[in-house]
Amino acid sequence: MVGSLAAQNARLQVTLPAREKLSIDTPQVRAIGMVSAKSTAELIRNGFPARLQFRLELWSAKNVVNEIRSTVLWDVIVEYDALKAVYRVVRVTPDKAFVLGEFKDIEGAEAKVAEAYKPQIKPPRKGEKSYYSVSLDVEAMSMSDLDEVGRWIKGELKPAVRGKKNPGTAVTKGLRRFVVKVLGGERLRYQDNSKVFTP
Amino acid sequence: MPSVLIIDDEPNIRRMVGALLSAEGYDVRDAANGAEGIAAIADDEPDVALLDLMMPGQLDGIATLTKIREGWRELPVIMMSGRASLSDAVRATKLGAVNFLEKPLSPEAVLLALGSALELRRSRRVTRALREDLGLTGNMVGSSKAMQQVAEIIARVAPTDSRVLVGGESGTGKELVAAAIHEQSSRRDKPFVRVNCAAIPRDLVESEMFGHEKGSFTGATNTRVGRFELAHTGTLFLDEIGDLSIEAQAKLLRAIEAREIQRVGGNKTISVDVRVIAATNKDLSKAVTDGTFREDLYFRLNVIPIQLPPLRMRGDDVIQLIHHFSDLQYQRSSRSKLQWSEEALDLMNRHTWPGNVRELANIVERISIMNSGGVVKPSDVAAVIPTFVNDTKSTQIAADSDKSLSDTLDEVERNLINDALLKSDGSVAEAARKLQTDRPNLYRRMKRLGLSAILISISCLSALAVSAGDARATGLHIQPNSIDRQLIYINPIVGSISGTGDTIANTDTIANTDTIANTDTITSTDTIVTPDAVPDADTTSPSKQKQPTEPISDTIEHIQPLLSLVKTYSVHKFGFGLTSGRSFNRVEGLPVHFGPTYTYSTEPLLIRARAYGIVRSARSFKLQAPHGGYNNHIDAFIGPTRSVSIGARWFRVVSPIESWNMSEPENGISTFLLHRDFRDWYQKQGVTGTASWQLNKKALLTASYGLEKWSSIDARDPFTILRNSHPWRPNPIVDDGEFKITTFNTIIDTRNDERDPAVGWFINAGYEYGYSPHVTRTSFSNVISPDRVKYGRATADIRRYNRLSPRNQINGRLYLGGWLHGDELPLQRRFSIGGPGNLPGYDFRKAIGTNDGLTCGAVSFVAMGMPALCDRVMLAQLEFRRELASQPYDLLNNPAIRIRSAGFTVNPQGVLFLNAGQGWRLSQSTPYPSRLKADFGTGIDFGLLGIYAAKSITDWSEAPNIFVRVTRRF
Repeated sequence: MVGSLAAQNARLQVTLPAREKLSIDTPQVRAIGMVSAKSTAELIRNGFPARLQFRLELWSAKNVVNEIRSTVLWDVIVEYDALKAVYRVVRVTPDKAFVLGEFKDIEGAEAKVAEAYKPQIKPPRKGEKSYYSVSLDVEAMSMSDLDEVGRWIKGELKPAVRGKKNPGTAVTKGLRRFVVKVLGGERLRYQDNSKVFTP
Repeated sequence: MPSVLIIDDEPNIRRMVGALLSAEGYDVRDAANGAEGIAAIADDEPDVALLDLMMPGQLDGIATLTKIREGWRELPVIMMSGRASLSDAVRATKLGAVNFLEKPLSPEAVLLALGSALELRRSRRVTRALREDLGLTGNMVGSSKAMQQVAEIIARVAPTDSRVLVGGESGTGKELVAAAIHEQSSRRDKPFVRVNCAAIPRDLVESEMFGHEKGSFTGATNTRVGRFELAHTGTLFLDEIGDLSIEAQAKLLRAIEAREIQRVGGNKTISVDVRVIAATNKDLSKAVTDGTFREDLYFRLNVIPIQLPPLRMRGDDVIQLIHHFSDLQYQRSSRSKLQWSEEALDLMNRHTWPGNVRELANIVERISIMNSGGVVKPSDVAAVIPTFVNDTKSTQIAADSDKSLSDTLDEVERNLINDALLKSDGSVAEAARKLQTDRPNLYRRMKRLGLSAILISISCLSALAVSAGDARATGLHIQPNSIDRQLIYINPIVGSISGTGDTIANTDTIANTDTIANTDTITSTDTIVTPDAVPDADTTSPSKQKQPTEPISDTIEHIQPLLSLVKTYSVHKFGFGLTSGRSFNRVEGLPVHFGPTYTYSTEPLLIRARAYGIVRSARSFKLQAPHGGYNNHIDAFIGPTRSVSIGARWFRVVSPIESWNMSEPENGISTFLLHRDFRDWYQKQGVTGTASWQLNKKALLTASYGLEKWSSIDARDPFTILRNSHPWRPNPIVDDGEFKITTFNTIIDTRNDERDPAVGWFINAGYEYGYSPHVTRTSFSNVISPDRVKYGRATADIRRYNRLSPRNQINGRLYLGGWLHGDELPLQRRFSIGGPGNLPGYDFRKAIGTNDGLTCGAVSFVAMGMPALCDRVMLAQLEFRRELASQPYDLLNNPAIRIRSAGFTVNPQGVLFLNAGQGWRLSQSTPYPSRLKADFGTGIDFGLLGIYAAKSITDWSEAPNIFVRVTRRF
């Protein structure tokens, strides 16, 4: 199950509640395959927590121009605790934080991240034509270039300059990073819309 | 008389040892097996127990010892055995036996062991008394819901070895929490070592924490064991961790991570097994954001956050604490026990207790001393808390603070609502009734004050915040769609905690509890949670809290570095920045901006300074003008949210004449790749002062005043990928002069998403007043003399985004700009509806032969390098967008594209667009045949870039135009 999740292409899904509960229940959001890709996992393993920034919007579709009825934002953070040698998955909402669990491997964290989640958004009123729209930005937390260079030199980040791997890989990584900055930063955004429904 | 209990199945041993000890003056009892022994201890705990290891039955010596240790931890147990092996002895010792006697017993050995055990017993009692005296028994007084939840968290985390970060205002009892965790943990018999980080001089932190070897530094006359070693196998409590210097934080982090230390001056690595509990009354997450606290250390310490509620949020705990401290005073002194009148208790209960429990304890002690006996009256309370003369919480707040009236009123209102919600168990409806208002009104007030029902009903505060460096980056040619996307957020959180696999009670309801209370969601599984919130929490978004907004100052904006090397010293950050300067153009080629940076960050103030030199690569690397330049600035952000900023810049830069219709990066990539520079440039040198006010997250006001010298600059010959051998369009000669420029600018941004807006407004409007005593006019100008110029001009860029359906959007833009009053605009301040060049997407000017411009200029003036000449312009744009796929294409698994943690996703959108624009010359001498120009077109926007085709409507003879844009059209 875990392996199959990791192998899937990353995607974001929003699923409506049962028809009879559309006006009282909230949709489920699933983000699949977001953190177990090799380089993402490597970054997390090396101390860069990954952040998944979710935004769920409830839109009213009853007029020509749709209107946002409510919005909820939450983050999921995947970090590696080197002392306990576990991956920790944390969900952060505006006023709460949940440690969803600690896992021995990234696949476990991936499976937890991929679990369906019901954000606490206010459902639409009865009879109001509506739909949900969810988006997700995946970003790795950055640190000062100097800190990162320092960690490269100390061998904390792999591939390290003094590791067994070809030092050129570190240079390549640095160049890639430079190119990313030149191009204006990374961009990894997913989105999905539910069907239009009337509760 | 010391009492001894002998537990042995051999009657002879009981009799002989009993006789010996009785003769020595001990009070002796005996038991024939473990069960009897346990019962005897339960009946009357002796001072020492002698316990035989090998006893028949289920409760042998080891099992009995285990039970004794569970029930009577301070009772010293001496083990006895005739056939025990060394491993048995070791096992018994590990279980807590204080000595091990081998049979046959010798009287001397028994008496010696008993003497030692009794000494130990006395020491333990003294220690306990001292700890009780210091209030470190781990007993938390209070039955409020908040404290019950704190107690629950303590009970859950104590058996683990997880690090805990205790937060809360001064005097709330953070050390008590640490002591309680220690007392309830398996380390309870081991040392509990407290370190007040704020009290250690900076130079002695390492020695204090890790110890030092004799002679390691001046004054190190003896070897000293550090706190980490002292706390080995026990608990190390780091109080006021927020006051630790950055250098000390690094050393502490190393010790925590490696679980080993080295004494100062020593070369031996010492392993330490220490559970770290830290406490602070500061907002560490904010300190991380400010750079005064290491993020990695914060994460290491903040495994389990426990936030203690202030006393004013603990309801009737005040009364319990009053009685508790009264009892303590009674026990510690010979004074009679305090009796409190109802009125006095009521007064005490109404106090806001800014000093929290510590203040309450002091007040009780003062009253105890001042009270000569009898009942404590309201006058006794008023005597030690004079503010009670006119007592209410609101007057207390007003008297104690320097806050503005509105802030004070807000705080009073917040307190009233808090109290009402507390007394209503979080029910907004009930609280509204108590406050004699209606529920919608209360909701509105709560929303304005940032309160939520669950925030009140669960009042154990915790904080978890994650921050990161600024992930923004700008590049040579492509401007990120949203440079303000921030990673930083601060989310104070509150509540109870449960172990993995448990369902969370009372936590998975949302703030708006009256409308949704769904406790049957998937969120309630596998969750450790510390929910709730604090009154001033930003509850709008975990990711939406913004950094201070940079002031807007024409084109001399803050430039994000490509490379940033930063070293942090406490509140100071020194660094070095390197950037492309955002653009590649035909004057500079690639301008390289580089130089030192400095940031000073404290609670109310953030100062950023940069001194960048500029080297230009356009066929020359000379430093003097026009080959070199500089761009220095210093900005100060002020206030709790740093919403106000003032700044100054002094610069010599190359600046574009028009910047409203095409971004620098987009123009840059076109220049670098295609040899097409659609802008004209001039040199700007001077100094500008700027003040900005971020009204809220949606509005920013900026004003600036500058003394600037504007001068023409030649186009040079930078390298380009394609058509490198072609000649460049010349840069026009502009109206040189020294100008005094005053600007006012407003930005209103209500878009739901800055990157891919689907709904909302974006309005950027500004006014500029310029004055110059002497301008050298060009031949394009109508006024050759006099050369004094005064002008006023205004611009407004209004954008509206609308979603029609989940995949369809219709967006509109209106740009208005032009002369308002005064003299004719200098050429640097003129406009075009299509840009000075043949700008794709605004294709109202077509190249005529080798000529490239026809904007508000008479045909006879069309020439190479001619600038835009419109005094006023209007451009309206309308576009329809449709997402072509239900999901973005994910390039995540393509190793060629993936860079760092992320890669790129593309979400293709089909675009239909319509543009219409008109430009005007106002001068009578050179009338311009003004007429509307319009085109329509279609294209595909992949997010990373868009490919479009446009066809003129107003001049049907023009051939269709195909073009590429690397940013959204608007």
